[in-house]
Amino acid sequence: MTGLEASIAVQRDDFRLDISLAVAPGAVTAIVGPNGSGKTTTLRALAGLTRLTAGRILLGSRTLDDEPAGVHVVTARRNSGVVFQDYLLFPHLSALENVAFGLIARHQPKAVSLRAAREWLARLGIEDVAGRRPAQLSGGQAQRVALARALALEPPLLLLDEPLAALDAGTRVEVRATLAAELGRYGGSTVLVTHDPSDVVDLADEIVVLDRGAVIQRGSAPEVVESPASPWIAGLFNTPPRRSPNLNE
Amino acid sequence: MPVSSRSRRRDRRSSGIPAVFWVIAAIALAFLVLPLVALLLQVPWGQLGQLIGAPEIGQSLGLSLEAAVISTALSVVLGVPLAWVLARSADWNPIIRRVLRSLVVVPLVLPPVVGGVALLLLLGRRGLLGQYLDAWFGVELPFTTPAVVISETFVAMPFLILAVEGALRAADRRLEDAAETLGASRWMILRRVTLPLIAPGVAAGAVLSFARALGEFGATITFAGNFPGVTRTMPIAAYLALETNPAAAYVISLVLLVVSIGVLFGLRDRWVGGFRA
Repeated sequence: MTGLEASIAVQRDDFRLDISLAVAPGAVTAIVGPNGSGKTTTLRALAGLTRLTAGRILLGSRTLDDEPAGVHVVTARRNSGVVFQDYLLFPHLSALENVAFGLIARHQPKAVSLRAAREWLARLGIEDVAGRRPAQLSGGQAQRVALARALALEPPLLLLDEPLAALDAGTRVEVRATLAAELGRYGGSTVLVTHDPSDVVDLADEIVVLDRGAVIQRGSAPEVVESPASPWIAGLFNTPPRRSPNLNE
Repeated sequence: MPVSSRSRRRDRRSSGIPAVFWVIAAIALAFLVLPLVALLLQVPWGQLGQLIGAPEIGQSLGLSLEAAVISTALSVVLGVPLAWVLARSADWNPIIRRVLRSLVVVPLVLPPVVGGVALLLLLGRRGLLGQYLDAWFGVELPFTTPAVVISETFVAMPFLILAVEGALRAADRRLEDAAETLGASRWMILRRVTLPLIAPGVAAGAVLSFARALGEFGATITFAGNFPGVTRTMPIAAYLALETNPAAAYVISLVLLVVSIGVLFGLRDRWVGGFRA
């Protein structure tokens, strides 16, 4: 199969991450797990920001990492779109310039890049904030700019690190709908890290549950909700206890 | 009435300043400000234009500006990379890092005359390096305009390094990660992300360096001496003129004061507000 195929091992001091992922083009895999379970490390490894201790990352026909063989494609040449948890928009550039940044970095002419960036902002319904700096954007606007910046390169791999966590509840619902629509149109593989059960249910095709660096469960959302492998994951989805004494209250 | 007097008392308590501190604070402020008032009162305002235009003042003014500008440029060109190394040396041996940082700030605390003596011993005709400069290239640095620039750079560059290092530490390095995921080369990240982020710090450091360089006296007179038009900068000219031509000394002092206040004004947010980059 094409898409993302990764088996990742990262050893750091006394923490070891061991995770394998297979994400078909157009599919979304959500990684959930308690803090410190290795979710963000997984994304950083996929983005090339953290070197593997062992393992391989294949994307379509490309080998991005093959640690026994010493293959490591540097982040800048991987073409993976990343939406960081706090967006990491460039504070000195306008929303439009943020979105155009990757295109310009890839030596597209500036005018072409800016035009494409403007189309992306329009597509996400925020063309009117094109000239604003990130500091002048609302959380929902900043999130959309970050998404546009990541998608503008049409990357074969999209990495979302808690993409909605910084938003207030109302905005989150709205932006999640936008994100769901974009992911529906998006043809690449998506890996989503989240701790929000709604993200998982609304956005993901497959769930991978990480705990202390190891995969303890994987499956579709209904499967994982139905038979959670750990109390933590049961709590995440608020799975009702089997025999609740006060069910009627 | 009782209400208002009580509320006034509460107001006074909320400021938390003991009465005696008001008095001491006023004395301290006067101590800092009155000398400058005295200077302003003594400046021969009527002959100001004529005195600034006088050859000896004009000459030292031009030399001072030229040397300070060049030494500021040198401080930026040399100091930014060093600040970079210092800011990004987090994973080095902490002892090496501390020693390195201390060495960088030594010129800040060193008496400038000692700096001048040290420069002479390094670059003088018989100096550690100076003897070779003399023997191989016929270059003699002491008592030349380049010596003024070197003295000023020696004392001014630490200001730039500290300002830039602070800005680099405050800049979020993950923005560089973000730029990398977007396909930016190291050079593009440097040019389009990191340098713009630290530009205010570089500017603040450059302005501080310029102010320090312009006021440099001790290292300059020791290493570069006091030759009119060659090494006699404004502070040296003011000091000398005090005996022969006090009015000229006052005017030079006024010029230096105006430049300093201009610097302060330019840095008002960054420096007066607590020097945050």
